[in-house]
Amino acid sequence: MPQTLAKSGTPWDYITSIHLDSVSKSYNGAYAVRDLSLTIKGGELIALIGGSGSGKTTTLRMINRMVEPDAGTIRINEIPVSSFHLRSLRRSIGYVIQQIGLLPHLSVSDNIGLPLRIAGVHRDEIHRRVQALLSLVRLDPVVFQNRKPAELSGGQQQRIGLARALITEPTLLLMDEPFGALDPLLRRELQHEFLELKKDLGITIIFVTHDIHEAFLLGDRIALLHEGRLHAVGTVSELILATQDDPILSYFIGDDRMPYIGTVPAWNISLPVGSFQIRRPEPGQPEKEAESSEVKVIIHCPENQQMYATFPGKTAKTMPVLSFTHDTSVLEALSAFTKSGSNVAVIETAESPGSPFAVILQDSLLRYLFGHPS
Amino acid sequence: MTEMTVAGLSAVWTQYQLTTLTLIHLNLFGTAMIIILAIGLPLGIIAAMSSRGYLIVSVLNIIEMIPDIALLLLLIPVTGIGAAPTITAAVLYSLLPVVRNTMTGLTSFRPELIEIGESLGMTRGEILRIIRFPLSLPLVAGGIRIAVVYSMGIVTLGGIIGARGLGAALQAGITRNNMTLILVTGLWIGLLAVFMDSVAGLCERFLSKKYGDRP
Amino acid sequence: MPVAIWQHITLAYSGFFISACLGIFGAIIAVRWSSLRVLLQSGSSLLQSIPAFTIVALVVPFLGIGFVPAVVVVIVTTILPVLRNTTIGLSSTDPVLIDASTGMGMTFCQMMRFVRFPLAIHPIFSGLRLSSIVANSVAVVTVFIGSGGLGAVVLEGLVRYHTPGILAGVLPAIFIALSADILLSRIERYLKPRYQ
Repeated sequence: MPQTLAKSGTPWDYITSIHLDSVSKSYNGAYAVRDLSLTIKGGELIALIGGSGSGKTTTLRMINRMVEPDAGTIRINEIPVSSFHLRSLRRSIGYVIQQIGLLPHLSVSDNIGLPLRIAGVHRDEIHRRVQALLSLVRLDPVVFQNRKPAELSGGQQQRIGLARALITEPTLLLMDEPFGALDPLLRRELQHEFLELKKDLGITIIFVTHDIHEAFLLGDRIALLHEGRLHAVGTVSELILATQDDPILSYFIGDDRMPYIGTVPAWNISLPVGSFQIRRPEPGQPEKEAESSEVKVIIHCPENQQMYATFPGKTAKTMPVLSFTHDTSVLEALSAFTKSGSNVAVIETAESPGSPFAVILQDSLLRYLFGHPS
Repeated sequence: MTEMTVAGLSAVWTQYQLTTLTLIHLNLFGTAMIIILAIGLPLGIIAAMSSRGYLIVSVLNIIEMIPDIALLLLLIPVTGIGAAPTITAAVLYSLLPVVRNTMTGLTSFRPELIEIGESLGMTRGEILRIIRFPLSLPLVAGGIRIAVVYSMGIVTLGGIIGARGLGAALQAGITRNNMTLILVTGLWIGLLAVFMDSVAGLCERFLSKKYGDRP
Repeated sequence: MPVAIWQHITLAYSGFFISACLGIFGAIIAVRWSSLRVLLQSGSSLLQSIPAFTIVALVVPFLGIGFVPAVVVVIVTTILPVLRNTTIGLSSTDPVLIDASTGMGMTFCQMMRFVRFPLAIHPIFSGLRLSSIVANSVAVVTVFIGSGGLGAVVLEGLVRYHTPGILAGVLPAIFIALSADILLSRIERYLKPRYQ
């Protein structure tokens, strides 16, 4: 993924890796973070999820040294963060918090430009960049630049907060439940916008959230923290697969909108012989075939016309799920499972056969990944 | 400076009748405080319960803007010199903190607490007695504490205009250039003032812990 | 008379300016070093309860009488409200704003300039206005330690029990105090940031 080169003055050009090695932090004798080790790859968005008190916010805040660990080290590009000049470090990292923290007595453009003003950037340059950033977060500069935070809605304030974090063109963005205080519809809207933005920015992002669906939507990888420890980390599909044997993970991820995880036993599909093309049904429209480059699921239909799936390393569990003919698409078969029979969206793009297979059924979020040959 | 021996100090004490003066001083202070409480607390309650409350506070605010010595002196044509203007000035000056704090204490807390009372069918009087009053105590104590400090100050000033009390001894010390007297009286007043303030402060802190509504 | 008024203003307001500067500066330091702040809070609480007239008298054994000791008394009695109010104002900024600003990499001075100070204008000026009134009061009382001014006019009136004489001293003092208060509130309104 493309990395933007940082402006001079930041301690690094781009991030290759962030390492947390056995990091611990306690308050009043109780551990907030306990012996946590995690590697974050440059350019990825890693979502830290967990319940309240799981230590995710504390972990995030240790990276820009808002909190200092009691034990362990945090390294960016192999250099401990404690060896960077403190303010230089913070000025190179974008920091977005749930309550946003816009200064109420400054205008929107003054608020966004503040990090540059602190760094001594020239006023005209600040103005130019503020205008650019307002457009980036989809706010009309002419309308918004002179408003005060009190005149803005929650969603607008959060966009301004993000703009402020991005104005120094940081290569690392720390976000602590940025959409948490917004209503669900607005949250959805901002999540999808942010997803687009994330692709354009191509920077490393550490994103704390308690909302599993948000983590799945935005995260390249997800780390589950539980009682201050790292409980599990992996891609969406890796985590979903792991829920079978992991009660804590399945408590977190399991959802009655995902009936086959935890409640419905896994299928047993032996693979692959032919390939189906996923057909995306649109209401009232003739079925369109999905683009062949999009998703490929390789499934074998045995003679008894039952669908099975095997997962790597797990004992095969069989369940005669349903019967279907050769013509039935996987989609139809799966949609028979969901109670709502709702719309399906294909999100993941093609990967090679052999990668893990997971299906999540949600109202408007359904990801197909790849089947694993038995 | 004269010798600061124990003998020297007690000589000064008796020579200038500091015991008597202390008693007069405390008498003036106590009288003022009683009147302040007797007028200020009810006034504060009235201000809180009526919609015109802010008017009372505005009037008192104007009094606050007058320097205390000026207020004291202004009263002389009206009440003569001595104890009368001193006590009157102390009362007038200290009314604002008491009334304002009582009013604020009775009106500013989470509105849901009043709603609960109303939903239980309480009358205005019952709400006042059971909900507002206890919760307002920390702030009321704070206002009384400020009144204590103001009154001590004005009573001390009263010594200049014939009210006697320890202020008069201070004045005597300055005019007669008697450093020992100044130091003894000054430190003694300081001790009394700090003591009064600390007692008021302890009450305030105690009430805060007991009745304060901290989120 | 004009001499007396001038002496009064000089005495009260030179003391006031010095204690305003010292008070605000001290408050900034108290915010920086929180250990100092606890000390200051308890110390100032103690001193503030001592009547001003006592301080006037207590300065004599140490500094004698005259204009300079009078100014010192004004400073000592007026510094406390400024110091207390400014410290409280500067240290009770919304913690969310402090968090976001620290994350941005602000230094202490930048934090003070962009965040703490602008949002504390009201408490700071409350302290200044209170101090200004006290300054006037003390400036009159310091006549006993030889500062002249309106206090002398008042004293003359008192001694002879001549009411107009007393008023001739008191009324200008009140007027000056009120004018200063109005001036300060105008300055506050000018400096106060707009939130809308």
